[in-house]
Amino acid sequence: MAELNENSADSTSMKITVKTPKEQHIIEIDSSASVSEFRSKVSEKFNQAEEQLCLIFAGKIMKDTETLLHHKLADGYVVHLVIKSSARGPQDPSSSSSSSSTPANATSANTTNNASPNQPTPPNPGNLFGAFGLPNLGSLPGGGNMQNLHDRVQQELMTNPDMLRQVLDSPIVQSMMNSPEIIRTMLSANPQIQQLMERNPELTHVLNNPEILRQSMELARNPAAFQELMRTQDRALSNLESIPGGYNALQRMYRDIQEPMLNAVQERLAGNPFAGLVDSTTERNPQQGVENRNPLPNPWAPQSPGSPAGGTGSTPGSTGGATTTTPTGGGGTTGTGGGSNNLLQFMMQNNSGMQNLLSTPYTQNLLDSLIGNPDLAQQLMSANPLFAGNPQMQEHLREMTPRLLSQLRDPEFQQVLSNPAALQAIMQIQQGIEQLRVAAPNFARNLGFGAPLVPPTASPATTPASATTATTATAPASDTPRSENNATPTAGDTTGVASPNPNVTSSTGNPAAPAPPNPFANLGNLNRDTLNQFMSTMISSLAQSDAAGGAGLAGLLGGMGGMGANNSQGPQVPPEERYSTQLEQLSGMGFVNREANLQALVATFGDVNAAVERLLGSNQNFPQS
Amino acid sequence: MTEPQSALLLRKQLAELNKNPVEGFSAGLIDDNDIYKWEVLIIGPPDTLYEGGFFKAHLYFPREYPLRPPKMKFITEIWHPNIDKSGDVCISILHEPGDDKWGYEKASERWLPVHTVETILISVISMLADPNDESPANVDAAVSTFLTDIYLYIL
Repeated sequence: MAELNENSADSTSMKITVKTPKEQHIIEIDSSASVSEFRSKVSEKFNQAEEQLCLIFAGKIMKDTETLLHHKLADGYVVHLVIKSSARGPQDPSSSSSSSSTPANATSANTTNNASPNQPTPPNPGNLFGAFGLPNLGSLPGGGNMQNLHDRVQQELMTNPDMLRQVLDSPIVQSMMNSPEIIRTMLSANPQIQQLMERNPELTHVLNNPEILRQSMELARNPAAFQELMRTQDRALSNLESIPGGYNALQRMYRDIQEPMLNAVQERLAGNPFAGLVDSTTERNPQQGVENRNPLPNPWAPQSPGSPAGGTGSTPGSTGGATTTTPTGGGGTTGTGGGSNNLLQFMMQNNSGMQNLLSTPYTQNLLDSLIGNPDLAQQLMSANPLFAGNPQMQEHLREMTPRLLSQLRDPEFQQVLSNPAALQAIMQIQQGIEQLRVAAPNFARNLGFGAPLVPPTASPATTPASATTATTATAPASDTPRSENNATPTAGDTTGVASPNPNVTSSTGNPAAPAPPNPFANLGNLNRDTLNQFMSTMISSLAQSDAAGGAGLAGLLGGMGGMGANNSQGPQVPPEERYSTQLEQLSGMGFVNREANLQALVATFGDVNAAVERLLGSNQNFPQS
Repeated sequence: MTEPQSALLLRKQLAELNKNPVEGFSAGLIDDNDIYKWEVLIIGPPDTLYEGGFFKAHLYFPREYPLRPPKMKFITEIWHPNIDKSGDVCISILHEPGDDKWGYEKASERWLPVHTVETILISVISMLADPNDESPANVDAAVSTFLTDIYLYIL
């Protein structure tokens, strides 16, 4: 070091290389020059203002008051140059980096919006324009004026929420929003989104689903729902953690999905330009646009029977799906209300959605944990306000819970659910029964179809509350791959379908009645096997659609009640007798635990093969049971 | 007095870095008479939260260098999951050689005598761009990153 000092002491000319990440120039300067002289030379070479230059050598920022000698710069040394972006203004990136990512993201969002493709910016390392490699937000060819106009309109919109709202409310935009085709064309014309879609096929799916698009737009116009969603999500996450296995699921979700998704979504959604829109528009749905200002109820408090539909999130362990459906459901109902009001129709149309839902490991995981902990599941169900005041229903529930859960696990039922043909068949049966009821009411009544058409519980208002079933816990996980922004698609869609549905509900009985008349009791005696099969598929389909986050638990449980009565050939025949032959078979196969055998048989409706599978599976998963 | 091997090696690396610096940081000595204490200025890597910032850090080399790793400490306050609140950097290649007693890291991921100031700083810069949330040193930063991510994800 010492000899370097002496070398540079004589005032000779030396060549210093100054380099930025993009370019480098050699600057010749007298070794005794001051830093400010050096800086002015650099500024000439790089064609940048002096005050934007930051020269760094040997781990130090060179200040104007110092000399090159002071920094021991010698011939052939290299100095780093960072060109600060003047556009950044007062926002000091180094200070914002110490808080959270939010300010930085906001900056980048704005900058991206203002970025113009043809603006002649000199190469500038500190410049954010190129930061995301997405300079072509507008992609208008050539015209500088046009570009300016475009920029200004965007700026105006971003800074003026009122104007944004006016624009959103104008009839033209309304009609555009009601036409998903247009939105899709607009979105896919945007190179930014194109890139996103290329990198993330999940997003393509989202963008190709008109319902989701519509819901997103709905949410954009409705900040209250937005806020509510954020608020409840927080709660839901903490609830998730308290479920056995829930924390693991969260972790996995984070690792597998969230990171890639985040990368994709961050760029677009970093700043919410709609946050300024406070009061929302005309309400078509009681849920929509109503901000829930009440504190979220204590999930562990005992549930009072009279507790309102706001029981969302109040069931222990009832998670994301249950809570998040509330706001989106509002949008969803509006979206789908007209078109499809049949649960099965929905399932058929969203076949891939169902498959997604069923195949996600989170669904399986949560079902596993529920099966492993039937008490929790029972608690979940009985804590539902609909049943809290009805001991008989609770009794039914207690009997049915294990069955329901095992149903959910059965791959066959899951297959049925994702098989449009099977769903269609079920729907046809329903429609047939409905027709029969209309055409020959007396006959139908004799068969047990006289149950009221629309049970009181199937109104949309109760939907959020009933969504707190144990199975709803699967919804958040299953939504994850597809939800591109606030529209939790599956949940929203399903809720949309949960409007009074005569087809489904009439066949599932009236759950609110203290002793539900079993509509299939008589029919069951005619052809029990077929009916058993039909009922089980029905139940599982209903259960699964509940898992999707919306449809009334009430209807489902009513159906379960009916099934229970039906299967047991009247309550007086205990399962031991009913399945005595199968029990013998099982014990002959070496399954010695009679209790477990019986449970498995009950769960599989006496199917020995399925019971064996179930026993083997449960032994693996839960060796203690 | 003849200089130990470590001092010679460090001097060589410093001269090399002054002539052919590596993108993203600049290195020098805190005190010209102490070759074991380095000062580096990391230029916030582009496309990260740290873009536009300059982060000063000190490297303290042991006399046994390169058999033992240096310690790195950020002087500039920085909010990062792998940098604790006093500025110490938690990165596997700066950990003492050998197998991790907790089994988190393989020996090959830890300090090796082949590492130089350059490789250390390249690792640190890439760490700034891509935090390793598996082994946080600043749990608050890790948690806040995680929560921010979750919220953004929900959005």
